[in-house]
Amino acid sequence: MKFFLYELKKLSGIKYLWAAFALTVLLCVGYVYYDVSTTFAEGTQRMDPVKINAVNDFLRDYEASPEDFRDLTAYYGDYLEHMRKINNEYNAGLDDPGEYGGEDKLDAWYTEQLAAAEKMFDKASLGYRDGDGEPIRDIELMSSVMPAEQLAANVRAKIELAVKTADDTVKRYEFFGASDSPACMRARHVSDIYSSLLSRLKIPLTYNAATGWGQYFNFSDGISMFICVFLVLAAGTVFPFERSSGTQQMIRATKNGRAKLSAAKLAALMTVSVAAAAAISLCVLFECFVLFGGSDGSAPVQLYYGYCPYLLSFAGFAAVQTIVRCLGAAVFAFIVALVSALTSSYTAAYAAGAVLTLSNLLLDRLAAGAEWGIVSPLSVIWAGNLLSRYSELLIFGRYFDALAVAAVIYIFFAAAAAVVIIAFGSRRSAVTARAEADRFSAQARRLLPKGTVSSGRREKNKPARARRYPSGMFGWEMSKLFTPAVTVVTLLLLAVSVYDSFGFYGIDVAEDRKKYEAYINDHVFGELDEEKLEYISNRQKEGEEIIGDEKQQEVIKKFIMGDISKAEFDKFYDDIRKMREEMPLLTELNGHAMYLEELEERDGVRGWFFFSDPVERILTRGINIYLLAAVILVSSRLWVFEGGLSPIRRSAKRGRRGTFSAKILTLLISVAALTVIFTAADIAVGISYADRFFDVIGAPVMSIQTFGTLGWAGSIGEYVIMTAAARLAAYTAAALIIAAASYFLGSMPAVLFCAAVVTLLPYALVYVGAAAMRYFDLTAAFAGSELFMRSASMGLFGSSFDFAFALLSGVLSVSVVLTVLTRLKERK
Amino acid sequence: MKHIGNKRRGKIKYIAFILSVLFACAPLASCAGKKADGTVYKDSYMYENAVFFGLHENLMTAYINEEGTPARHTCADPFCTHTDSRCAEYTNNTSHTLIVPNGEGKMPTVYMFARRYILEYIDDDKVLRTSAEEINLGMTKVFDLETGKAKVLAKNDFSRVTGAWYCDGKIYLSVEYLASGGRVGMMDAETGEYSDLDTGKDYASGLGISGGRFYYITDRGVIFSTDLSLGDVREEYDVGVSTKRNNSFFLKGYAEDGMLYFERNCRILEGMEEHPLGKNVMVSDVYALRLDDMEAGETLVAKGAAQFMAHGGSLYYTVGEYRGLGELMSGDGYTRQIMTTDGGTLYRYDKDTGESSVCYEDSGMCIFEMYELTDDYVVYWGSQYRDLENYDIGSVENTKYFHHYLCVSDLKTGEWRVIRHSSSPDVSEGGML
Repeated sequence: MKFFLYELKKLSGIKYLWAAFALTVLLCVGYVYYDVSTTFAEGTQRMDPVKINAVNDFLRDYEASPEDFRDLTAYYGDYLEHMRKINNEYNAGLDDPGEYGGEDKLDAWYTEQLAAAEKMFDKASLGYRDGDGEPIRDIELMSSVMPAEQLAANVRAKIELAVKTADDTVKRYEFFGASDSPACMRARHVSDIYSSLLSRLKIPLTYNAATGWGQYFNFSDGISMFICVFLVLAAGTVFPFERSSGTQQMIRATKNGRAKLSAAKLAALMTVSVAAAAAISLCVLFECFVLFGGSDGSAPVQLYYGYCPYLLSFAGFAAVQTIVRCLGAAVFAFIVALVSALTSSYTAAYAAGAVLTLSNLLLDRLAAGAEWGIVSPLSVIWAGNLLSRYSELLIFGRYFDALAVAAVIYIFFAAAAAVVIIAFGSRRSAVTARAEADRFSAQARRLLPKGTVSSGRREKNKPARARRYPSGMFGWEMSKLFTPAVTVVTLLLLAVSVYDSFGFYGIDVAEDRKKYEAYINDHVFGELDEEKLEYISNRQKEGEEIIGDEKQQEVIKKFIMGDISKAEFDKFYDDIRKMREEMPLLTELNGHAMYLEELEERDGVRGWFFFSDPVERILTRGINIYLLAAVILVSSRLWVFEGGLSPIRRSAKRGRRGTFSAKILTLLISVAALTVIFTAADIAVGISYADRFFDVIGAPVMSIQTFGTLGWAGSIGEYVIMTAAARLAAYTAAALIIAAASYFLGSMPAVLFCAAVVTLLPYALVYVGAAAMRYFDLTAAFAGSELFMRSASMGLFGSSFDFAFALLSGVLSVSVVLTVLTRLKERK
Repeated sequence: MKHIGNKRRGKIKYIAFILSVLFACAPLASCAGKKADGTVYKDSYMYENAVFFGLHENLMTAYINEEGTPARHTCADPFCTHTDSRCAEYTNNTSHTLIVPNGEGKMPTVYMFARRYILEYIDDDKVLRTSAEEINLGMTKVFDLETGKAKVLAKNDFSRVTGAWYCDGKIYLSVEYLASGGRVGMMDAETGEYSDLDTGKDYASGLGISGGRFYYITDRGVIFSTDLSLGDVREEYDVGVSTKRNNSFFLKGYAEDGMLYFERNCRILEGMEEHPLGKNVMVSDVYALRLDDMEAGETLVAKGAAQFMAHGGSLYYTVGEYRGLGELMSGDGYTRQIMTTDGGTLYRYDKDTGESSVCYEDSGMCIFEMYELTDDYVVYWGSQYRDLENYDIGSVENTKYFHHYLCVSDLKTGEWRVIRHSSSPDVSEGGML
């Protein structure tokens, strides 16, 4: 117990873990708030939480004794009848607006009638009040009854359909004599489970749109990713922490420094993981309650998760979900801790954590199949996926309950991880504690090269080789900047960036976009000319004729009279079908033709007919957060690790200007190389999906309607180069600013905080509505295209790109000034 | 703790490696349920008295002994909506299917040859996961009904499949490319790896497997055979004419159970030349060859056969016979001509006796296109010519194609059932299986 408390205290004493936890909570809360703001900013009205609770109270009362509301039902019926009359009259008026003195007057009349109806039926006799204390009108309360009844009926109908389908499947398999087939057994399980659920399930009337519980379940998926990241940081720290401080071997040499200590560490890690997962979940739940209300916790969870096989209320489901999440979090942390214990490396532990976090994506992509994603660590930490529907996994030709499979897998992995860690921890070192402690301490300070020595036997047989150091200042600085760990993390970021690029360019193109792309490129690809305009016009006329009723009746008649063969008749219907598919494409193409004509007239730019979703994506690519992370990682380390060597370096002959120049040069080259590599990789992936990229590279970028407001006659190729140059300038400036911060602040967390504030805070503020922050939002410059688009929309000094150049010049100037200040301080 | 020597540690590692390989291979071994006994499977419609057919983008099942024969989804997932490619039975433009049994008491595996059209609904948005260039190319999807799981086995370069035969873990295919026409080839049923047989400039179409050899016919009217590794190619017989069948480059033919059937002299059925359906009703003369005695030469089996198909080495066929049976006023106010092109009669040529006999006579449903035969049933696109007065042809949509059905007839009695009333062209879009 003492060890456990000691380890817990030690773990909870790591400041950066607290910072990471605070950041995780903030990210989760911010993520929910941002999503809610954007979703409900798009026209959907978010209902007042107090009002939701009041409506739910009313529905409960109504359901308990509907006869008490008989008068109100009649009153609501009158209201509906009155509204029906108004609407009918308005619709009749639309057919002949002249009678009302035109459409505008008709609309005015309609608005007036609606307002009068609102006044006429404004009774609020039931005493339910909204968040402002205003009484809720009776008709508003009554209008919630029918959707609530519909919702309850739909929930039951959905489950009944699943049972019926499962029963049909069982019958079908029995018909084929294959009642023992895995698919049949599964259908039988589904039928049994949901039949039993149906017999016990009672769905009350409830106003279910966007309640706090529902929103919490909605966001649970997203926050599990953040929880995973925190767990990786926590679990990756437990074991390497002692190695880096040089006490690992010393501990191993002590009586209690073996199994007991490892077990205590695991217990502490488990406690921290469970507590963190629970705390983050509670924070988000609380936020959802504040934003959406949370009075209907006793309603069955099937109102949100229609296929949830358990008879649970919203609150009960949230509790079970949190328990599963916490257990999943503990196992996740154990596995990361196992890697960190075996390798004593932060990098390896973080890499293993990243792989585990992305495991559901990897399972989806690899041959294992998407269904296995349900037991991936991310999915288990979410828990919603596992609990919201009865799922089974096919293993060795038999279906097993996915929840049970997950339990077996995770218990096995947790136990295995614990056994291996404790067994590993019980190894006794053959090297004396003091010698090893000194050695690692010396290695950590770079006074001794890092060898692979871990035991006396190996040291005896294979002495560590002396490390080769670069001879020049530049090489030395470069080797310091790109240590193996940083290189691995950078490569990992590059890999994730490329993966993200494949996801961004490769999929999710709507079916109609694909068809439009094939159509425009096949028929009118190239520069706008008369011939193409004529083709569009003629084809539209032809289409209207083919799909017209007159022509159809004529052909049917001819076929029946025997004037045309069946083959000709079939061909005609094929033509109609094809033309019906073609007409919407033609309409869109015609719209694009009108845009190109207008463009030529307005800006004197002769545009092109083409459509390529990947090309548009290349041109509108947003910020690459992986590149940003790599740049922050590299630039923030420029000065921080000089530490106690600064006085020595300053007194040396080459320790001032030479070092300074070498550092700045290294940084500039590194950041330029990173920007070029990440950007080129992204564009290359984009081009691999954009078959016609090189065909359209010379087309004016304004041929694409998205860029219609750019006011710039340059080509697509030039625009790609210009955006890449803007990114390079922005990242260079950011790197110099972060490096200067690292010099003046001298602490890594402070630098990272500073970097986050400089780069991301304006972005966040822009999104929550602070429009003025657009002038300081560097993320637009990191994205490239966003900067020019924003600049064109601002039209700051009369020209399209003035703001873009002003922002870049400004930020570059600040970075130069800070660099000069660094140099001046360095001289002292 | 006692140290384990390097040699001993190596042995332990070796044993662990062998065990893990065996462990990893166990599921693969358990999946290989089909025996390599040379049995040829070619069914694409019928399995255990049930009919599998395409409707829109779905593979449906109907039982022929059930009243009303309602079609059901073949997918076994009770939660599935069957509307996108995540559904086991969902494919687009299925050109052919192949049903391979997995043994008694087990459900079969269905190979579906369709277009590379991977569609998914993401938050109600229709997302096509196929590039514009790939949409017209083919893919092979394998649907294991035993487990209810399906996967895309291979993305193919050909656009459609016109015939498929399974034998010993390989699928022998007759395919069509968009640019280079018909070809035959072989696909590994486990890996989906496919290779064409080199037929030079000749287009080819598969006829079937018999005696361990795969037979095919070229567009020049020459029949070839190859061993089942597609290595040893032999020219077997020159039909002597290269007349193409309607809508096809190739003459129709079958090779199975020691018999080879092929046609000559394709022509429009007499009396139908001026009829709207005339060009669709072709007749030909069917000849038989015994594969073990090719030198004995060909035998004329059926003269003026309208539809023919081999099953168990024997030939089932209808004889073209146009009969106008009056007119019927339909719901849209037009007068429809009622007719039969084969008198509703099916004949059987017995390979053992060498004689033809009537299977069933004047069933009231003529066979426009035969899809599949079993020992008991024949599945076909039929046209009813008797008792039509009782049939509901009330709507314009129905009357347009009122006489076209997916039907099944009992070979012993001639009694028929409608499996699918194709009142619109949906069935053909969904997959002519």
